Amino acid sequence: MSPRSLRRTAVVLAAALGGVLGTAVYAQRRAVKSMPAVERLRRMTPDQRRRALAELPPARRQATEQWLANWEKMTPDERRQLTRRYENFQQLTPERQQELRGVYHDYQLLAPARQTAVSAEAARLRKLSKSERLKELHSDAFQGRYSTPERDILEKLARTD
Amino acid sequence: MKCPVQSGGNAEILLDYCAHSLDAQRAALLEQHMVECADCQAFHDAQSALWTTMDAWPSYPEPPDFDRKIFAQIAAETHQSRWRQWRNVIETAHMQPAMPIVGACLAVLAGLLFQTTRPAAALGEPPMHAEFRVEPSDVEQAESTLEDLEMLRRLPSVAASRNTPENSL
Repeated sequence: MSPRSLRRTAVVLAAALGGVLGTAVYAQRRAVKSMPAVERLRRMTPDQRRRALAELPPARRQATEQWLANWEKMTPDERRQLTRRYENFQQLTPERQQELRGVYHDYQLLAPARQTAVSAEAARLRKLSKSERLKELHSDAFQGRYSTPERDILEKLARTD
Repeated sequence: MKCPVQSGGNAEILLDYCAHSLDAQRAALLEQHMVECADCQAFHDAQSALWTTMDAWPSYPEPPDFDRKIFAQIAAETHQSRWRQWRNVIETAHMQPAMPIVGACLAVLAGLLFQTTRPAAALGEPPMHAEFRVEPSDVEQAESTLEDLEMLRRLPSVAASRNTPENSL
């Protein structure tokens, strides 16, 4: 190759490389921007996170930090499963989502031992067929085992999504 | 005897005769024919003149390592590098002006390949503690998502994939 041809090749290659690098930087920025906010929070340094959460009132900030810590404690597999369920949750109608949030609010008002019992009962009910579940929910044994707020929670949870 | 010139396809006999490689019997027959055939005589004369000229050509002694050099060169050509072979192809096909474009295309292709593999890896397990800009709305969104995630974590029966619409109450 002649020196002139070499020079021309170098210029074209440099321009192409510049284009590729520019595209890479742009793609990286776009990927970060499209990342879920939780993921962005998770990847911050503690200092960055503190500054970002400083916007929230103290109680909410503390709760958010606790939820984030819980999320961090999970194994990658647990996180994947929960993410999948979160995607299912997002497929629900806004009304149903809101109803479930309300159920969770009521659930949190229960004593820890009752929370465990209700959660286990909800899981058991889910395994039953529709008719079995209806029968169970209206049985005397069920009515006797759970208080009215607990039954309300279980009935709402048992309404499959 | 059939005339070798006029019958066509039998000119070797004349060539062999001129080269003195024809057997005596056929040579005698051809000589007898040439007495009467002007075409064959003319061919013989032309061929003889060529042989005479070639015989008069001075021959030079070949260098002692002539054969060795020739075979070495052939071997080198046979085993030349792939790059050289490609270069020869490019040169003979006059493709040199296209080389910068080809180089640029390869660089862009490499960049595109890099890009198609990079985002998946980046989103799968991204670098921690990167510099992120978070807007207040992002914080609220994160808060709401985390709250939902916490609800799902504590209530395993919610939004579990085993639910089917047919199963609903």
